[in-house]
Amino acid sequence: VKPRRAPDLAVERFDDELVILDLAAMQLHHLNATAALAWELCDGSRRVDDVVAAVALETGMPPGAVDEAIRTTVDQLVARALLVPEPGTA
Amino acid sequence: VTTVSISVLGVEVTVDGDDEGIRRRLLEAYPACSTPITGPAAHRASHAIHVRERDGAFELQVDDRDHGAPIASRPLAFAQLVWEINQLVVRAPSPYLLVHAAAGGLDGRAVVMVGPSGAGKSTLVAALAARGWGYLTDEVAAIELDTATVVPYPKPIALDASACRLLGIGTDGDREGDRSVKVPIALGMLGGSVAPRSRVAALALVQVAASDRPAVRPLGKAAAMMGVSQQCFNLAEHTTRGFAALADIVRAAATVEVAAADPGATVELLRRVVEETDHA
Repeated sequence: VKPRRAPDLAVERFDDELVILDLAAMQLHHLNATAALAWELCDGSRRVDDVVAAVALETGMPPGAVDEAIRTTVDQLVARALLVPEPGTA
Repeated sequence: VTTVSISVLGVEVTVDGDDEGIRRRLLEAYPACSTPITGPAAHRASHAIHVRERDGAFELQVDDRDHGAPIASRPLAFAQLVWEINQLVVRAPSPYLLVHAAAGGLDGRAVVMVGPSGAGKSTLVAALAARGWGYLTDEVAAIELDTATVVPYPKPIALDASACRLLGIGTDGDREGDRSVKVPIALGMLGGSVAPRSRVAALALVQVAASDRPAVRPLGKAAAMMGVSQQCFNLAEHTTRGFAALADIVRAAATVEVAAADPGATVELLRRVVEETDHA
C-alpha cells in the first residue's frame, strides 16, 4: 500500500507540528513532530517501508528503532481518514 | 406591553412582555449592546422573544417556539432570557469567528480566555473588569479575522455564588437558595466598562484549577490552535480561510495555559503576559 494524504484537509504548521482540519467531517487533529513527518512523506509514491526509511533518514534514527512506531502512526492516520491508500495500489 | 430591542454582533433581538422587572433588568444588563454590524447585510438576523408572567411564573417564547415549562421566578426567567439571547447570537451566520471564550481589553490589546463551561472564564473576566480592564465578553469572543481584533459583545456576566463571593458581589437574593445557579451580573456592578475593539495579544486556555496556586504557563502554538479551534462555534462557516486566519492569530499572539484558582493573582499574571507582547 502506498498511502497518500487525504483531500479536503486544511493544514496549518506550527514548528514541527501540524493542526489539521478535516473539512468534510469538521474534525480537528493535532499531529506531533513524528506523525507530521510521516504524514507529509505519504504522498502516494512511497510504500510504508519507504516511509519508515525516509523518517529514519530525516531523524537520524536507525530504521529498526522507528519501524513499529511509524507503522502504528500510519495505521492511525488511515483510521482517522487523514491518509488514504493510493488507488490501485492496495 | 413593553419592548426592549437589543443589537449584538448583527443579531437584532426584540424582547416584549408585561413584566417591568424583566424590562428593567434588560436595560441594566445590556446597556452597551448595540454593536453595528460590519460586512454583508446577509449576516443580519432578527428574532423576537416574548416573556409572559402568569400567577408569579414566567413563560418564554422564542420566535413563536415555547421555551417549555413555566419558570418559577423572575431571576431565573431573566437568566434563561440571557441564555436564549446568547444562543440566538451563536447560531446566527456571522462575519466573525465566534469562539467560546471570555475576553478583556487593555490599551487596545485583548486577552482571549478559552475554555469549556465551568473552567472559570466568567470569573476571570469579571476580575479583569473589576481591576481596570475593559470588558469584551464572558462567553463569545467575536474575532474579526481580517484585523485579528475582538469585537465587543458585552453581555451580562454569568457568575455563580462562589464567584460573586470572591468578587464581593451580593446576589444571594437572586439565587433563592440555589447557590449553583449562575446569575447574570450587569457590568456596572463591577465598576467596569466596555473595551473598544482590541487586537488579540494573548490566548489563554483556561483549565479547571487543581490547587489554589495561580499559574500561567507557556503553551505550544499547536496545542493553542487545537484548544481555540475546538471551542469555535462557527468554524464550519469560515472553513479554510477562517482556519488559516486563526492560525495566523495564534502565531502572532502569546499563548499560555491558565489555572485560575485565585482570580486576582491570575489577573496580574495575565497583565504581565499582555504587556510582554509589546516587547516581543
